[in-house]
Amino acid sequence: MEEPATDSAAAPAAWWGSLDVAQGKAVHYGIGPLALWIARRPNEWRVVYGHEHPLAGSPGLTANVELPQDFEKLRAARFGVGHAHTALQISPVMPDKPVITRPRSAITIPAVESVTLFVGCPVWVRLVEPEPGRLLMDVPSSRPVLTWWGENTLDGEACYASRTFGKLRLDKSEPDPHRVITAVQVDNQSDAPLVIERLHLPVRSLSVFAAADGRLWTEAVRLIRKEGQAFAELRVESDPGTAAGKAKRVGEPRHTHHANELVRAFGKLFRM
Amino acid sequence: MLADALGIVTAWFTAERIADLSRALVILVLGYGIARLAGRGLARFVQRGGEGRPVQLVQRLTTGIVFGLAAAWALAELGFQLGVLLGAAGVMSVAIGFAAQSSLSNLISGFFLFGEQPFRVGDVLEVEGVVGEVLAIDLFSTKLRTFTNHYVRIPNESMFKTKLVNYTRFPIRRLDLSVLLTYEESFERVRPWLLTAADRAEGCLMEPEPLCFVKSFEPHGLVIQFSVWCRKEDWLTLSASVPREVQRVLEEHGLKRPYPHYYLHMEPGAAA
Repeated sequence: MEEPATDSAAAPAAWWGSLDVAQGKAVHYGIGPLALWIARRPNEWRVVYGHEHPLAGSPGLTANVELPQDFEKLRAARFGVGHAHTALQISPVMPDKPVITRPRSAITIPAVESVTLFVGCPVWVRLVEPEPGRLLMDVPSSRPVLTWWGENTLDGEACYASRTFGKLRLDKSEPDPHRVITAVQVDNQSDAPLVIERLHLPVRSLSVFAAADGRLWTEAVRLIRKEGQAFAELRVESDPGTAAGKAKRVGEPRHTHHANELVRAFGKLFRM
Repeated sequence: MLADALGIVTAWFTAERIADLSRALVILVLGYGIARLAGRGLARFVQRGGEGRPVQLVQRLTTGIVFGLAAAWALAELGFQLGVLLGAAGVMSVAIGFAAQSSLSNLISGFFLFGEQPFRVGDVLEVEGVVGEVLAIDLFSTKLRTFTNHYVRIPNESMFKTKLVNYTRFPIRRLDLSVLLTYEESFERVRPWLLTAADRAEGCLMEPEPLCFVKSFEPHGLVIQFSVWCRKEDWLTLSASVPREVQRVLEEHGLKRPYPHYYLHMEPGAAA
């Protein structure tokens, strides 16, 4: 089995890269709260994962393991294949729905002010067969929690709720292998203060980058709020920004971003 | 004898009559083509409005009306007095009207339902005590499939007159649960546990936030109203997961579940 690439000696081992699972064997991945088993059987890939399993949180890759017996607590997927290839590509990808971040208390951006918010969300793990280049499945690294993004219960969309609160400075804690950080620069170009109670981030159009310290980042995002506009202009930069340092792209976006897209990025508390 | 009959037929088919017949035939053929085209065109236009529109009905009605006009024109070309025909049709329609009163009532109710659109194909309704998914909205009746896989035909007149609940009109739904607590237990202590259950329950939306309050005081305990939200497609999942998680979280905290109990006070000397 090939060892996944490591970007830096000091950083935690990277879990993405290519691997080879021999026929009849299985590997286990621990990525944050995710416990993931990938087994190769004759004419079959079997993927088993869970977020509350005792093995969840045991970090890194373990080769030659048995599939867990307590299947009832886990999710399983089987993929029938007609070939005998044993290579698999594992990569980080952003969630398949927009992510809503809610600060512990509302953040007010004064008129004509620009600040950077650091927003985190759990990464998803993508499994691809390099031969013949097929997506097997995407697995969330932590159990996704849904939330509602809309002004009322009649119109809106279901999004994922971020478990983080949006920070104005990057903390010095240990890099988390299953979280992706987005530096969101909020430009309030209007004459009125902007109160952020909820922040909607269309993450599907963002790539994943790995920084030298092991943190995962997306491209930096700029949200421009102009006078009298209900929507904000969304600009996706080409790299994660200066806070990330030097970073290498390790995961592709799900969708292509349209330049200067207008999004309803700022929301208020949902009041019934 | 035969020669006489042939003579009469030959005499009838004058050049003028043959020209009238040809015109009528051309009008009928062209009318049929135009009717089909008009029906398809209008149906396509209605289909753009989204799923569940009465596309088939619109197509049939348009085709029928246009072809009916063409047929009337063709009859006029053949020398029929349309006024007399329409008069006869008027008398007939009164007779038919009396005979087919309920059918016409259903038909007209069907038109009103199409106009008002209180539900669409695929919606889950409750009508006259029947809960099911709408399979088809036809001219005279609406067809439902109950969750026990029964086929239910409800006349459109009933659908129009009766109270109807559409459970899937809006994108999210609320699930209400009553939790009974003993009077020895504190609501404020239990409230965060219930919110934990909501957080764990599969399909539960983080926002709109779960509601948790004391609803009533009953002889054997206090009733807590616990309401959580989900996407309409997650309703069944949530209905199963929330009671399970509530039970689990209350058991984890060793909470005694209330049951009907009575205290008997024996006073000395008060025996009958």
